[in-house]
Amino acid sequence: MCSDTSTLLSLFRLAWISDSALPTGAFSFSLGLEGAVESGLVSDLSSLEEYTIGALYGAAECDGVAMLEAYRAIADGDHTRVKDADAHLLSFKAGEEAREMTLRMGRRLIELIHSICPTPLTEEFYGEVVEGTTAGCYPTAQALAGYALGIGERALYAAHLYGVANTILSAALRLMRLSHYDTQAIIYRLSPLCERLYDLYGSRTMEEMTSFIPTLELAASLHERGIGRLFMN
Amino acid sequence: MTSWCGKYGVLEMGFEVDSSGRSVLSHLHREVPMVVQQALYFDEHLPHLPCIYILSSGGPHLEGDRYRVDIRLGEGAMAQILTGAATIIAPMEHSGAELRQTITLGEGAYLEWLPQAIIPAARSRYTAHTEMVVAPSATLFFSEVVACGRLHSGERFDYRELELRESVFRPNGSAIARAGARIVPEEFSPSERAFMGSFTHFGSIVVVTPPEICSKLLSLLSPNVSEELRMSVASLRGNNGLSLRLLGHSSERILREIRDICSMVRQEVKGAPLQEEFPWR
Repeated sequence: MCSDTSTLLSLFRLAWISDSALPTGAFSFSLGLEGAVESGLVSDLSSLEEYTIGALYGAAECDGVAMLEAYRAIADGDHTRVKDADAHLLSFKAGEEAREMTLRMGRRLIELIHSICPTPLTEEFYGEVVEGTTAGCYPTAQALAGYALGIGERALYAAHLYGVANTILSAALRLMRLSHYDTQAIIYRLSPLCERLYDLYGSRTMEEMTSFIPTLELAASLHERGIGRLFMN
Repeated sequence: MTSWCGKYGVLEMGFEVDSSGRSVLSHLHREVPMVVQQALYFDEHLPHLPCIYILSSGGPHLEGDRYRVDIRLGEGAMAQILTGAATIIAPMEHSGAELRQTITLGEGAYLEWLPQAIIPAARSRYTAHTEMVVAPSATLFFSEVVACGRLHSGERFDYRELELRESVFRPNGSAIARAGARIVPEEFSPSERAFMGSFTHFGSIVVVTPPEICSKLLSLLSPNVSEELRMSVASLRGNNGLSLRLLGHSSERILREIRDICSMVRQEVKGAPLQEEFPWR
């Protein structure tokens, strides 16, 4: 690990990897919101907020579980467990666009971290992703980056959930008639949810991973067949 | 296994192709309360298809009940498995009821799994884990429907916990897909808009089939966003099948849609549609 774990440094780095300017391509995805808006499933601020809540629950019980498992496996020095978590998560992803999003963003983040802050693990993982022997899902990449940068697991979990909410709400600004103040107010109102989600799902094992967000699944499915193509999902 | 008290039902069924080319129920082992009628060949469109009704003589699933089901289809065999009635999960105080099932399909095998709804009563807990092992040239149609409770008693998501988990593997152990839903209404309300909204029933379909059939099915199936029924359609990795989620206001509506989709799958795989549902069902 190339990091100093002092609080200010880790907070600075947490802010850095949570920033939407991080070149992972998150801005080109909407997590199904484009399909939801096009079909009328999301039509106003209230339905947008509920959609975001659903996405946060979905992330917490699925991607968040894999990210924490990968992070803990890295801390234990168990690289096989990291790759198992990665493969397990990919098998949970139904829908071409959902798989494309996690693999594309994952590869970009692994590449970025490995080029800036290489460790034996990032080298091993990046090499396998390039060879195609490991998938390299985004939550696994976040765990690798977070550990390499000395960010604690709870803070990384918050960054993961923030990324989900921010992806949807940034997309909403381009898809709906809203102001920045509206979306920032939603982020503020939903922020206490991250403690609750960590308490509910933070100790789940990979075998306990679930995903039950029918409306978001429908929105993603509509997008795959839809005509609105501003976003990649 | 942790200590438990309750019924322990076992059902093992094996299907093979006999010398005349007909699929037959070649192995049957059951322990009460699991009951299986003899294989019936009532499907006019596929007369060599053995249809099996699984029944339970013990009434609803009670606290502590454990069920184990193991279904195997040999090379080229086919079968349709149904349940005689809805599965009611009775009210419980301390523990739950559990079902563990494995479904194994050899090369070229074909299985339709079309059970009636699961109805989790107030204060019930239920876990069902299904492991499917499907050879590359086989096709599996797996479905399930879950109600929000005993609606006639005013129950609406009053159960304590419901966990449904499916995993699909190839015979070499590689994972094709995994899915899981764990609903604890005390943790979050399924009636929230991002989950089920005003819908009271949900269904799931997993189709595992060769990529060329999967591509054809994807071109035939469309997501549905109507007030009466919602349905998402997603491909599994490598185009090895489909995963569909349905929302509706009654079991009957979702079951009807499931049969329509099963008919579509059968048409592509076997060149024949599903027989019309019996009018008394």
